[in-house]
Amino acid sequence: MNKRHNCDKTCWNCPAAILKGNVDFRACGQSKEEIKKKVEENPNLNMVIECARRPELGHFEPNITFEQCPEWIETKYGYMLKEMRVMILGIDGYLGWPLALKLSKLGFKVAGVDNYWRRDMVMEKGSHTAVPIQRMTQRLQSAKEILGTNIEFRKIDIRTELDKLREFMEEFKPESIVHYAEIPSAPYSMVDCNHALKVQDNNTLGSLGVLFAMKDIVPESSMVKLGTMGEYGAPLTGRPIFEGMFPADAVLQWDGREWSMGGEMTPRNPGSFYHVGKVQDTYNVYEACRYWWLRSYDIMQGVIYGVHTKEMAEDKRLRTRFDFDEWFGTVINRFVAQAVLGIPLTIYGKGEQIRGFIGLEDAMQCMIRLIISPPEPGQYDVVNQVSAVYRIVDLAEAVAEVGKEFGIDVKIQRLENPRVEPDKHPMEVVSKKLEGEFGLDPKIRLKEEVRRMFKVLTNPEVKKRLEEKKHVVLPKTRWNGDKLEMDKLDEYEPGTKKFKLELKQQLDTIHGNDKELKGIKENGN
Amino acid sequence: MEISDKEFNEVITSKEPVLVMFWGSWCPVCKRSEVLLREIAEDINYEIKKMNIDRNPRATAKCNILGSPTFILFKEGKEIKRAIGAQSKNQILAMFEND
Repeated sequence: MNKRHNCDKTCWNCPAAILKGNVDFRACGQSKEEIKKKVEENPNLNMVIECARRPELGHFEPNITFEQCPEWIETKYGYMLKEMRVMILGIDGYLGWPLALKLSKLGFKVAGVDNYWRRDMVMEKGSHTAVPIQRMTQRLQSAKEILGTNIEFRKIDIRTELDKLREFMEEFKPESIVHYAEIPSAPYSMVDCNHALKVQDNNTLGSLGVLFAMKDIVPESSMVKLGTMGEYGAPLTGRPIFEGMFPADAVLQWDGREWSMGGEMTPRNPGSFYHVGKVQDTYNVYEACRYWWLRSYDIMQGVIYGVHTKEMAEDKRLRTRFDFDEWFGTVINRFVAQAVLGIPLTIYGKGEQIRGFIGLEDAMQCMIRLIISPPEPGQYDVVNQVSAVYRIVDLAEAVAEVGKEFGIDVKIQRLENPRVEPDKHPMEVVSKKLEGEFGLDPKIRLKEEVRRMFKVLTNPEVKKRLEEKKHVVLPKTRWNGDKLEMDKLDEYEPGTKKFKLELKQQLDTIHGNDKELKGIKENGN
Repeated sequence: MEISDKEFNEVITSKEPVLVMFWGSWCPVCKRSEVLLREIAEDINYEIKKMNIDRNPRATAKCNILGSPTFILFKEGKEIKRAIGAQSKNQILAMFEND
C-alpha cells in the first residue's frame, strides 16, 4: 500500500470542517418534511460548510481532498492534518506513553490525562514494572530534553472528574481523542465483586462520560477507542471473526427465506467481566455515533507484546512500563519474564488456546493511520488490530527457542486453567481493513521482538527488579473466585511434545488466508 | 459510482435500468453494501450508482427515502422497484429480473 492511502478523503472526514448549522443531518424517516420544505423554498440549495482552520474560505462546498488542502501535509503514514490536536486518555500507560512520544515527534500537538491507576493496581498486586519508569512530570521533562516534544498533561480521573476533563477539552479542543483510559485486565476483573464493579464502572461509565463531553465540546473530533479481540470470544463453530459487523454477503437462511446480515453487529462472547465491559462500551460508542453524529474507530486489539519503539530506543528515560504479574502482564511479555526468572513458562491446560497478537510498534503505526484518516460524521467502524494468530503453546516454544540464544534453559509447565474457556477451539480472524484501507505495513516479527525483550530483561538492573517480585508471577486468580495457585499438570522440555494442529487457525488478510500455521516459522511470523 | 444532486436526473432517465443505493456515512450497513455492489457491478451489464442522503437533499426528498440503505431501480425516470435495508447478493440481482 502506498503512503497516500487517505489522499482522496475530503472535508467530510476532516475535524476542522464545521458542519453544525450548515449541514442538516437527519436519519431517514425523521423530519423528511422539513428537508422537503427547505428544498422547495430554496431551489439553489447547495451543501456548504465552513472551515475552522481556514475561515477565509467562508461557505464552500466540502469537496476539497486531503491532497489538495494546504492544512493536510504528506507524511510516511499518509496525509496528516498540520499540528493535529490529539488528546490521549491514559497517557501514562503501556500504550499511552509510547503513542504520545510518537505523535509528538511527528508534529502532532499532544495532550493527555491519567489517574495513575495502572501504577496503583500493579502495586496492589505486589508487583512493579520490570523496566524502571520515571514519574510523569519527569517523563515529560525527559521527552522535552531528548525528543524536543511538548506534551501537555493533567492528572484527571475520567470517571470521577469529568468536569475537569471537560475543562481541559474546552481549552485544548482535541481533533482526535485516543481512549486508552480503561483497566485492561481480565484477571483483575475476576478477583471479586469489588474488582468487577471497579472495572466495569471505570471502563464503561467512564467512556460514556467521555462521549457526552465529546458531543458537547468537540462533536467534530473522532474517538479512536481501544476495544479488544476478547469481545468476540472464540466461536466453536469456527465462524470467521469479522471486523465488528457482518459483511454484506453474509446471509442468514431460515425457513426457506434469506436475509443479508450486512452491517449488523457480530455476536459477542466475552470471557471475563472486563471483556463484558468492553462489549458494553462498544454499544455505547455505536449508539452515541448514531444519536449525535459522533465519529469513532473501535479497535479490537489483539494481545500486545514488546518493548520497542523508535522514540523510546533513544534513551532509557523514555521507556514504557513492562508488567509481568498475572493481572497486567500480557502473555508473551510474561513468558519472557518467566524465562529470565527460571520459571517454567506457564501454559493453561494444553495451551491450545488461539489468540490474535500484535507487536507494540505495529500497534502504534495502526493508531497513527487511524488518527490521520478520521471517520465521517456519524460513522462508527471497527478494525481487528491483529498481525498474527498463534496458539499459546507455540508461543511458549518460540520463546524457549530464543531463550537458548541467551544461554537460558527454558522449560514449559502446564497448569490447570484458571479461566472458563474451551481447551481447544478453531479460530479464523479477519483483519483486512488496517492494511487494505489504512495502509498498515506491519514490521514487527515475533522472534525479533522476543529477542529485544530478552535483551532488556537480562539487563542486570531490570533482572533485579524482576527477581524482587518473582512471587507474583504464578497465577492465583481463578474465574470461580478462589485464590489458590493452579495445580501443575505437567512440566517438560520444549520441543519434546508435539500438539498436532487439529482445528482451523487462520488469519484472513488482504494478502490471502494464512492457513494452518504450523508452529512459528523461522522468520518469526 | 457516487452521484450527486447535479447529475441525478440525467442518471435515472437512462433507457437502461440503473440501480441507485441511497446511503449515509452513519450507516454501517451501507459501507458493507458498497463492497457487494462493486462486486455485482463487475458481473452485470447494468449501471449501479450510490448517493449520499445527507449531502444531496433534493434527490433524497424527491425519492422519499425512509431508511438506510435504500435501493431503488430506476428506468426512464421512473421508479421500478425499491428495497430497504441490507440486501443479499441474490436479492439485489433479483431486482434486475424482468427488466
